[in-house]
Amino acid sequence: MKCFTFPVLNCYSCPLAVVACPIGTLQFFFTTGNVPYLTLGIIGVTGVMVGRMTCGWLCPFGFLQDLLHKISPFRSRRISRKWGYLRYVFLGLTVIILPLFWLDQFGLGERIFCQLCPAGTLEAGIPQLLLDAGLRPLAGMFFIFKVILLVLTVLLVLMVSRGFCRLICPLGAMLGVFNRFSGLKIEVDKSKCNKCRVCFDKCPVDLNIYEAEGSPACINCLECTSCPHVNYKFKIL
Amino acid sequence: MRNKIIVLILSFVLLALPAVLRPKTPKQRQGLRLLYLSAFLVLIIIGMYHSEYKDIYVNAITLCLSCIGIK
Repeated sequence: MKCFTFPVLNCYSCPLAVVACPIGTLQFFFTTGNVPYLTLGIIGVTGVMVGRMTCGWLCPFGFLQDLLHKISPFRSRRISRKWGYLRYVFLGLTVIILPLFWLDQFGLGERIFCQLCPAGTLEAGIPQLLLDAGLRPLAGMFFIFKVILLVLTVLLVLMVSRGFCRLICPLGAMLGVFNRFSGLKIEVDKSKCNKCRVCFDKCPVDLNIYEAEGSPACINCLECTSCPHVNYKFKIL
Repeated sequence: MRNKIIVLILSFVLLALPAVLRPKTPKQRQGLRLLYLSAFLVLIIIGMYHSEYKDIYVNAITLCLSCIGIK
C-alpha cells in the first residue's frame, strides 16, 4: 500500500506505516523536479469530497493531540484565528518553494518540512532508534534538534487544543481550502440558533460554527453536531 | 524548469482559486465541486498513466535517515 498516499500526516519511515505520507511524497517529487499528479489528485479528491474530515477522524498525529490536550495540566488557551495563516506559510515555504528552488550541488532540493516535522520524529525517528541498535550511533545533533522541536510541539498542543493542526500542518492547509464547497457540509439552522455557544465549547479548534460555516480551519470532526441546531449533510453531485 | 512551472500553476489552482472564488449559493458550490472533482480525477489518471505509484513506493520504502534526524 505504500505506493499510494493517504491524506493524513503519517511518516512513511514509521515501522507501522502502511501508506505513504502525502507531504513527504509531494516534497520528494518537488526535489527531483517531477510533478506529483497522483498525490495532488488524491489530496484534491479527498478535499473536494470531505474537506478536512481526515484531520478530524483519521490522522494519527491529530488523535495524539486530542489525547495530549485531554491530560494537559495547563489551562486551555484560545488563539486568534489570524495565526491560522501560518499554515499557509509553512505549506508555501517548506513544502513547495524551498524544495523546488533551494538546490544542493547535485541539483537536488531538500525536503525541508520532513526535516522539521515533529510527527516524523515521534512516529519514525524515536521508534527506529529504539528498534534498531545499529542506527543509534548515527543519531547526532540534528536528531537532538528534532527532539527539541517535538517537545516544543507537545508543549504547544498541551496549551492550545490541536495547536499543530491550527498553526503548522501544511496538509490541513491544503485540505482546508476545499471546506467552502466540499461534499460534506456543516449547516446551522439559523432560524433556531440562539447562539448558546454549545458548538463553540465543543469545538477543538475554537470555531463559532454559526459565524464560520465552511471555514478552512474546521477539521470536520462533527463535535458541534451535538447541538440540535447544527447538522451535517453529504452531497457530491 | 518546465515541471517547476507546472507545479507552481497546479499549486495556485489547487490552493488560491477556491479561496478567491468563494462560492456563495449552493449551485455555485455544486458547480465548483464538480469542476474540481473532475480535474483531480484527471490528475489521478495522468499519475497512474505515468506509473507514479512506483516512484512513491520506492521513496516510501527507503528509510529516510536524514528526515528522521539521523545523519
